[in-house]
Amino acid sequence: MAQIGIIIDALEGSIPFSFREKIIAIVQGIPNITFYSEEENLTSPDTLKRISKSLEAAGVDRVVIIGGSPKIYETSFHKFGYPLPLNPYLFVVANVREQALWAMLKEDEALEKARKTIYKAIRIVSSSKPIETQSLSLKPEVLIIGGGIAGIAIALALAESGIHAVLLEKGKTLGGKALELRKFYNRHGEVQKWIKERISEVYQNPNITVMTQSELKYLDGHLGRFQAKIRASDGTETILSSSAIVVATGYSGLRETRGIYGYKRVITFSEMEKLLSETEDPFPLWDGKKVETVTFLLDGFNEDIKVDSINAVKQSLLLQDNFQCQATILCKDLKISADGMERLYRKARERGVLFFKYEEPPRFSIVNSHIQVDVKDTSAIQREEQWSVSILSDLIVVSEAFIPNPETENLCRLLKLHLGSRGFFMEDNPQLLRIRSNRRGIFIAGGCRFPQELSETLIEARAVAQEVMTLLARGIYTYDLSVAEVDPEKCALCYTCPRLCPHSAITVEKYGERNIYAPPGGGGETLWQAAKVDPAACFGCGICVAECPAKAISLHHESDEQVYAQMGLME
Amino acid sequence: MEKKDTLIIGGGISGITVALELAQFGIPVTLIEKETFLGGLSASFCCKASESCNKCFACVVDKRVTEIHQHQDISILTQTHLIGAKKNSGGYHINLKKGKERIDLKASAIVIATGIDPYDASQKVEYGYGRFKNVITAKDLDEMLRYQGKLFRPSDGKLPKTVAFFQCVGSRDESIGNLYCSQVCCAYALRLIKAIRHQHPEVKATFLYMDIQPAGASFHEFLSSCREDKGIQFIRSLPSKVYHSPIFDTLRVRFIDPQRGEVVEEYFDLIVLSVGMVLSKDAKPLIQLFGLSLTEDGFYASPSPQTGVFIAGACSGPKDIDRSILHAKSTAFYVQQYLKERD
Repeated sequence: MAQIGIIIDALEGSIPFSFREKIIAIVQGIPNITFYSEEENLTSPDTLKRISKSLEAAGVDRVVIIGGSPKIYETSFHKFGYPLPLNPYLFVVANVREQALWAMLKEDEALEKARKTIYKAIRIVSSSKPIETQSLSLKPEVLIIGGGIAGIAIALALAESGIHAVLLEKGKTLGGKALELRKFYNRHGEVQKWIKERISEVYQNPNITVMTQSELKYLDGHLGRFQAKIRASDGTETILSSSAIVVATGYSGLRETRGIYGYKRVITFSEMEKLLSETEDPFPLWDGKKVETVTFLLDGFNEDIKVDSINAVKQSLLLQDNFQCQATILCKDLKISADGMERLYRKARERGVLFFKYEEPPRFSIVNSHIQVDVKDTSAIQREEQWSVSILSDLIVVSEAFIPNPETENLCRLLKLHLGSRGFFMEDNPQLLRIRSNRRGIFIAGGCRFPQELSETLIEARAVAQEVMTLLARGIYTYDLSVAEVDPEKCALCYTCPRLCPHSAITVEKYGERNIYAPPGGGGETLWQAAKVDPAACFGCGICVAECPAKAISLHHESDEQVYAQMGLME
Repeated sequence: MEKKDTLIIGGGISGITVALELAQFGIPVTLIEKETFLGGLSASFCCKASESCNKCFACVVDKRVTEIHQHQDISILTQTHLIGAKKNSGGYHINLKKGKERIDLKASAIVIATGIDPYDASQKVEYGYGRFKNVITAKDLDEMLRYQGKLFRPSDGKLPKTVAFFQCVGSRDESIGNLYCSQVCCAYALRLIKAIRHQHPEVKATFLYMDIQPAGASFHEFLSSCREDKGIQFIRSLPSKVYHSPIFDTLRVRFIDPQRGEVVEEYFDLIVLSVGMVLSKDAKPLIQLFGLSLTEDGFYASPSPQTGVFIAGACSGPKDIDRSILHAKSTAFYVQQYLKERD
């Protein structure tokens, strides 16, 4: 028999004065109540201390608080500790104020509702069980998948804080997509030089292990106990154990080659970047011919990504300033929402770069090995028939379609992450934080979530490092068991729950003893197999509980009896 | 008080995030805020969901504010101003003023997260903000939806039938000295339009813009859904002037219609100005106190990490809530490194 104590929040704001006597009368009428008291200032630390003592003296093991919204109490209880020498899961708030006294028009109805609410709370609390906390020791080991600039920045930041990072790269060299860049748009200096410095820092850092030409083949385990099988290009396999994983595989570009896009004078931004940095003559050469006019075509494929706009403005300025080329930029909307971009756009216009904003796609035709572009300029203040502009250019620079890296889908299967509608990795819940994945202990960084600009990636990389540090710095992860649990004897191994779990916390495990229900003659190997929820990875959402056909799964903090009591089915 | 804290100036979303991050590592934190409540500018935003969440991040702020109040190790001083700071060998000696009370404390590191102010739209005289009742800023509209729960015309309290949104008021405009894009207003205004159209499908919206700036991974789907909506008219043109006709109490807007290639005038019941971001005016004294410098765009430039002064959030350049949180987290990382090196 549970010893239930009741505390009435007697503050005028919680229970109006006119109702106070009547609520007390209801409480006094409840049988089997060990203790009750009224408190004026329930949320102050001194009161909480005093209540704890008197509750202990009365031998109470479960508490109901009658008052307002649970939020009021939870905030201060979190801060000052729970008012009981008990487990926090053994107290329930009966929200009499909002569910009864404020909700009902007539006094007797309000009191009847209040009585029901209090009885419900007592039923819930008497069927609740204490929930223990557990902890998991975490080694300062992190696996970073992807040796691009995001991966490099995270590895360096973590190594500085004393966390050992393994940097996994499928290619021969580190650097990734950023190696295509030559100049920063917002500061001086060469990108290549800057990246080379970062890479040599990585190699010199004793806290970073670099594994190039290696791929993740298999991943097992959960937060703190990930086991990754990594295969190098020469076939050697290593098993790595790490506490957390950061996915930073970046994005790649898909070049359109049909139609005019296959013509030799149509190039991509990275080719242009290379041409600009390698040209030392007074003018750039392409295909043995002097380049005098260049047209940039934006928004062909990626209308909501600003990387191309930034590159186009940056490159057109270089062309105008250093090589006296005439640059033209065709776009739907010029994306300048990055720090300092408006100023650069302004400068480009001053230097004579032409900007045309189109709605219909421009038409291309080849005229004497030049490309003629016909575009309708919608931003000109002219009548419609005067809109059309023809530009004869030596080179056309087009954007590539940004797509996820080809291995993303495979990696997503291995890591059990979610993919977004465009095939990029998706964050768990954009409201929480965009770098957290759906699995605890796995983070997403950089362009594999969405293509973005270099300086933004660097900010994101440090934010990821901060998140990983928060997780690992204490060396221990403490969680309470307010999670789901599978009863292995009831589990029919239907694989419903592992498929449904949004956080991939459920796996099928072999149990030690023999399965007594296995058909005879199956041999000793027919060991018991059942689904198992990893308590450190479970978020306690209850989806598996609702879906399990065998009713083999239960939630510790929200048992069926508690739900029935809440619904008023136990009256 | 003789303990060494990390002082965080500004209790907006960035300041709160830095405080929470540092407190997790047991670093003592003092957060000062000039207002009576935490959350800053972002606390006044309403939820802009239509049929589904439009990722405006307004709900995140409420969550973080609750979280910080639950924390024991963070001392929060509201209605507190910084009046003096002196650098000495061990850090900074800080003088604070809370009402009439004066507080001295020693801080080992300073995080500045004073945030931004919305641009004062009355400086754009031609739009008539402050003179015409039915010309409001996007922030006014946001507060109207949050605190009054409905859309109405300030002049007569009726539902407006046509609403025009003017983009780039106070940003991308050299005539007022703000030659930068505020980066958030396009998505912000479109979310507001979506929320209004969801609540009142009979309200027609007109979106007058220069270039639509993207915002994050799901913006493409969001923008396409806006473009498909017949009740939203996209016009690439910025209005030149707003006239008020007192007889019918409507607003006449003059702009160039790019479809027709000529100057046109149209009538609207309500005009919403998407105001840009400028550095908070309370930020000015801090420049002198800590020897900070400003970027070309008029936001704080990051000082060198040896000074022990760090910048977090939108006062380093325009940022939405999402990016402010991310920026604050990366600043928290720097602060931690700095404190570790000094120990």
